[in-house]
Amino acid sequence: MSTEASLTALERSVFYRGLAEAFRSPSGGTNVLDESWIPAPSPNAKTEFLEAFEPSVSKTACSLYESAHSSRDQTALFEELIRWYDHFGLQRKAKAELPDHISVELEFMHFLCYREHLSEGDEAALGALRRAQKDFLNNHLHPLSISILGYSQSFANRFKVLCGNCEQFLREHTLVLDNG
Amino acid sequence: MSKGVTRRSFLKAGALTAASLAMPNFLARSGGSLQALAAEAPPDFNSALDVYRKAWTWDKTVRGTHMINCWYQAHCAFDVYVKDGIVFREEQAAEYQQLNPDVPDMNPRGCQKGCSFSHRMYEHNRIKHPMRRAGGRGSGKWEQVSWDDALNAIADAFIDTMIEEGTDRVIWDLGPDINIGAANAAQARLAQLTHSICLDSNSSNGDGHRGAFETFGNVYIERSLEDYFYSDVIIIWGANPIFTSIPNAHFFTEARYNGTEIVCIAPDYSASATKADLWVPVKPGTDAALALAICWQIVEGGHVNEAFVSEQSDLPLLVRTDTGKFLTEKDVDGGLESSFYMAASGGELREVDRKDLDLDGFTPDLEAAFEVPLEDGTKVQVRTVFSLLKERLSAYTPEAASEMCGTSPGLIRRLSKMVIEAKALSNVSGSSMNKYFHGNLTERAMILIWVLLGQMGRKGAGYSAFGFLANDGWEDYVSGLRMKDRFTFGTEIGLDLVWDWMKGETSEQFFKKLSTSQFIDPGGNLPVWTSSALFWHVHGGVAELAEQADQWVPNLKKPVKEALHESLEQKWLPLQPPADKTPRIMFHYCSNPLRSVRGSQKLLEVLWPKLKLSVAIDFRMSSTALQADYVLPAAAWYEVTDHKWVTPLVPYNHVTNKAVEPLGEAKPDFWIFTMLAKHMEARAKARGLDFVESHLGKEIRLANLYQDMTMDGRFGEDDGDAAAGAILEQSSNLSHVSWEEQKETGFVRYDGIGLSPLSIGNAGELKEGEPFIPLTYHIDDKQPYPTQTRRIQFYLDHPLYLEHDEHLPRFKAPPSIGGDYPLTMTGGHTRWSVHSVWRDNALMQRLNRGQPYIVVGQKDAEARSIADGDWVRCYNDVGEFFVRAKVITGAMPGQTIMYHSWENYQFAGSGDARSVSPSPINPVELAGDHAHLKIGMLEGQPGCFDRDTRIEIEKISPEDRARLGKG
Amino acid sequence: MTSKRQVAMVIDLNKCIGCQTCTIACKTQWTNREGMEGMWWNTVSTAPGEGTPKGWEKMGGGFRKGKAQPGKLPKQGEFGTAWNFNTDAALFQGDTHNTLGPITGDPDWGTNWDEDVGGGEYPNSFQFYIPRICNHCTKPACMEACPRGAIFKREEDGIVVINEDHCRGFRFCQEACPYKEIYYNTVTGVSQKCIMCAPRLEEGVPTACSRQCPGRVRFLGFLDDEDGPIHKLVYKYKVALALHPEYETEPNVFYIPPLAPPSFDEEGNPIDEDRIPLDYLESLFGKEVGPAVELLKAEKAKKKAGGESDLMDTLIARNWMDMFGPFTTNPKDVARTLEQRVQNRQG
Repeated sequence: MSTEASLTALERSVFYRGLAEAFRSPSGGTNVLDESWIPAPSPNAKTEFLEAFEPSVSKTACSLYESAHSSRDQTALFEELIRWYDHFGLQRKAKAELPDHISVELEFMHFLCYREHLSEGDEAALGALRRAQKDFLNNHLHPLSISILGYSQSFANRFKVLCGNCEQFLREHTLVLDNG
Repeated sequence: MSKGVTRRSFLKAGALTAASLAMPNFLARSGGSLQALAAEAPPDFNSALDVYRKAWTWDKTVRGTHMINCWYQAHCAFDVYVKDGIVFREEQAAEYQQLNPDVPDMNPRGCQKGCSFSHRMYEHNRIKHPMRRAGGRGSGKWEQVSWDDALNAIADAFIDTMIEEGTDRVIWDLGPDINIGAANAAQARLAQLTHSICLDSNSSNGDGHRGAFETFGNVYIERSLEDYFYSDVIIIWGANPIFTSIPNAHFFTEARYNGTEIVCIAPDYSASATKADLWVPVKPGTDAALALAICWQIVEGGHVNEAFVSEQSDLPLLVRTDTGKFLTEKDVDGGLESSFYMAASGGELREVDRKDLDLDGFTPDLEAAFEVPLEDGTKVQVRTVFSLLKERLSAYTPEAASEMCGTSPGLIRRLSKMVIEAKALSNVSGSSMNKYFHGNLTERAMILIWVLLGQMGRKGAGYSAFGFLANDGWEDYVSGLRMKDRFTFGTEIGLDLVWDWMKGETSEQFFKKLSTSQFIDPGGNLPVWTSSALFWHVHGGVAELAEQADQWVPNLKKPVKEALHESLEQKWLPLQPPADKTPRIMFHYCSNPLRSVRGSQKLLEVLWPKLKLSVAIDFRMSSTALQADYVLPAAAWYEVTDHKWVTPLVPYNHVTNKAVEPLGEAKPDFWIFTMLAKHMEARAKARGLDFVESHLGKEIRLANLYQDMTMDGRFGEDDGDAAAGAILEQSSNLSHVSWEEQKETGFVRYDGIGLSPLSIGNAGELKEGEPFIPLTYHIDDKQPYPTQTRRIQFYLDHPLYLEHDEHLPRFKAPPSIGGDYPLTMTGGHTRWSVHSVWRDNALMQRLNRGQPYIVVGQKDAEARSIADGDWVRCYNDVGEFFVRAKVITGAMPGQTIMYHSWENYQFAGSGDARSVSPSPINPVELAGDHAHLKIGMLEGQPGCFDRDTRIEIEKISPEDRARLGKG
Repeated sequence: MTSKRQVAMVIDLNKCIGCQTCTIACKTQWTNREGMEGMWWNTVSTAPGEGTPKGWEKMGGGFRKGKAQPGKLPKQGEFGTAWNFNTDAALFQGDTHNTLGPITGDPDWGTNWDEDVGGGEYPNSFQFYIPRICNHCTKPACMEACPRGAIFKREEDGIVVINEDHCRGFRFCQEACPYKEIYYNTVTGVSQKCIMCAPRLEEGVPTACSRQCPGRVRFLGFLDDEDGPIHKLVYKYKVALALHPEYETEPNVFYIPPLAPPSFDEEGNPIDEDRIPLDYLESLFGKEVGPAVELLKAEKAKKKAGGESDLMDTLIARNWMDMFGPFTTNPKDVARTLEQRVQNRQG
């Protein structure tokens, strides 16, 4: 176990934001996450990103959509995720990514952690938010990150490291929630 | 886990102090700020079940349809259910009004594919961003680029190619999304303004209905579905509507209950045959023998409708027995070569009126044979077409025909009796016959049945060929002019047309000529079209595969290659760019030639290396997009507002409304083409370039391109909706309902066939409460047909037809294309996809077999020790592919069926279903320099023939199967 | 125990074109949740054939002379697996070793595996399509077999429903149902089946399989509605017959038996013998099928001769809405409430 237990909700929220950005675009996340955690984008980052994450064009790519990693019906998964987001007051923007993209799910966790941060002291609220985080991680985000990690050996360094660190970060957060 | 990854030191300095919400994908549903939402007390949460407690309500339902050419079954109005900017489901609107109490209504139009497009549009091969190739073609190395970068690069290459090599080196390859709406009006307008070349895909699809074209001078002949309810015999021939016309099929099953006899003629006991009252098995590609046997029964039994054939057809016309040519006025007194003769009994010549079919009481002698003195003083023996035909038909007794087509004499007689006794005889048309090498002969023989009996132009009676019904404002939009004004501009074509007009020619001929002029008009201002079959054969290298055609096709008068060369030399068929010039840029607009072209394996080898740029514009990654240089993401059909042409079968214009925003950076087609013009204008200006000269010698106003494209800013890149409306508002056959109203209802019944060169051939009235009956302008109003003789024409005195003994309908044995192998590989459209759009959709696959398969009959399977589900190798002299065998009871011995449109990447191993189909061109289809055998939109071009493909199949071992890899 | 009224369906096999739009309509509306991916509450099979689940007609169940008969529990794979495709690995790659196909390898069974395979021997091959849903029987064998009392027949419309809160997933119902129309959800551990689109019917909307059927195959309504087409077809003309009536469950889904083109003698000449053997039809629909087929042929002949036939006109259903009895609402007009009810059921 790491120093994770000592991370504040706000810090975790920032991590989630960085992760979401890193999976959204080739050089994303760099304004939030240190280079010791995620390597700086190489000059070929744009191509490397597609090679890693755009299965419709790349031999070795892995989809970032949960529905590609699940035997569940995609529409049903969309519905479930939209219900999750809606439950916490969120509505999908018209031009948003699809709800099962890992960056959207990370963004949702970013929001829940931020909300946890604002709920300091309200034990009922903290309980609800942590149960939600745990359930969401267990049923959606963490299995997705594990599946993506399985493809990552051939990825360029930045994205290989990203997938590994992302999975570990989610695993550690899950453990904290389990122990909490 | 050695070391935690979640130390705060991994966060950048400052990231924390500035920490706030950064959420590009979400809003607060309440309308407030996300910050305020986060500060609220959160809802309770115990388990995921909690998120299911709240009622699920739709944000809206939106009227939509699918902008795909599913042709005979097009189209269907749907309600699209939207939540949070995502389409979750769709269900048929089903609001079509019953035409009259005699006939069923059209509800609820839709099929399993349309009912699951919402699933299709979010599948993982959806393209969401512009991409540029970052490695070799097909290497799978790409980089995401901005629209600006992509369009600038494409614009530069476009301009360079125009300057360096010519505007005709830029090719628009048009796929099944052509909608005759705003989307492809923008494409066509850009092509017209830049004089770049559009491929007419009908020819390489093999949908040409060549026989109808040869006979009527026109392929666009189709009725409305309701009209089938007035038929008492319906023949399904060369079609399988139970697979391919799902929303239409109830008209046939219900007509059967109404007392109509349904006949299905097909080698296999097809899904359509199961719905018939009589199934007539016939060997693949031999239908002409069967049709001619019926014709002989009609003639021999004295059932010819003499009044009809005398008035409407060329059967009474006189032919010189020495040259085989029609006797013309030029022969007789030095007059016009386009003036022909009939004879009164006793041998008196009567000139044929070119402007009017009405014989004014004159009864021609159908059997006349006599000598005629010519202008040069010689005499020549002449005979009527009918007498020549009769002589030829006598070779098709039921017994003789049975030898050719395998149908028993007893069955031929029974079918003939049904046909002869029918009060109203109709057919269900498909595009199967055109895919046989001698399909033109077959279709001519089929049409002869209807014409001999006069079963045309009445309710429930008539021959259907090819359906097309569109608005007629589209051409106007594309050209930026009113079509009717065009000839007053004094261009070459204009003067020619004025002359025709003065000669009393019909508006049908006038507009069909405009269609031809899109291919050959050097003086007009139209987009330049070219035949896709010719293009792929010549520029794509497919012709190389067909070099052995002389061995496959018996009695070819000259090698296919030589015939092709001759036709190009003679300019019988125009090819753009010409054979000695090289295509440089290809835009694949939702087209997929690397899957669809027969013999497509040649394209990558021959054509692709010549291309400086290949751009795929699509919403999904196709076999072709994988080999492109740029991939541009197009909006899916629920993400744009536009409208879509249909066929007379379902004479309702259909509209799709934008239900959700395009996914990712996808853009409507209209936006993409307009923006390309904008970028081209900007790049040209930056180079100080005002104009370039086109291959037609015209000025291409590059510095004004965007201005011209948008009609001086009236229709900018974001005005696709307004452009779609403008097209309808200037359409004579759709302007009776406002665009706003059409968007709301999603469909509107046409009130006329209009003046589009593609619809006008239907030549009939759309009347309220009445089914649509084609060709009544000719049959009731006695207007001449757009043929050489101005009549329905069975005799073709073009030298190529005389040389091949195809001047009259006849039977020719099917060739063995691909080599001397025992099995014929027929095909057909599948129930499970329209083109390849749904072929790899998981829902469809789960109701199928999940992998490509070839259909084999029991006996052929047993003879090869093949069991259902076994892996087999299918091969001939040209290629091979591997699939699983599906053994059925209904396939004719010797027949296999490869239902179409599997993507290349669904085949295990290297080949695909096209690898064994070299598809040589039939030389007679290269004819030109003729009054009606000439090129036009979707007609008059050589076809592609895969149904005569011969193969052998053999079981492969599990080890060999394993070596093929997944699939 | 008996219901006050019974919703019933008549499926016309002469109009069914095997397009599976009903299957897709049902799938996308009801069986896309977790654990339901492999369920097809509505199937269309080619007959003769193994059907779905594979070989279901040989699995027993139902009653004989009022006594419950033993039945076999279908194996999960016999319903057909919802294959997942290696879309990510394949499209993707242009590499022949990653051809797009089911991840689990070459399949050897699927819910529509026997499509268009048929029976007989060419040219006397024969086949027709047969759609199936839960028959919402008057004497449901599943209901009697359930030790939890979790299956009940709704009083207002006779729809047979499983109360998922009471179900413990014992699957006796699956064994007992002679039509094998009950599925087991391995994720939630309960049995599930066609609910006759009860939430739609409650809003006056026809079932998805009926309303979305482009072949206009399915009549829907109350069995006792004497003016409705169902009563006419089942009782007056006796042309709509239950499938496998020998199981004595009294199904409330009825079939118009299929006609076919004439068969051929050895020379290939058409003969008057039926292409679909009568004994095969009798094995499906019982002895009443012969007279039903004869009546259909006779009425069609009457129409051909220019006469009138109420039976033929009923089957044609020129006005589509006439097929659905009281269920005439367009779902888009009640889209909100419709979905709410779906959620009540799920919750």
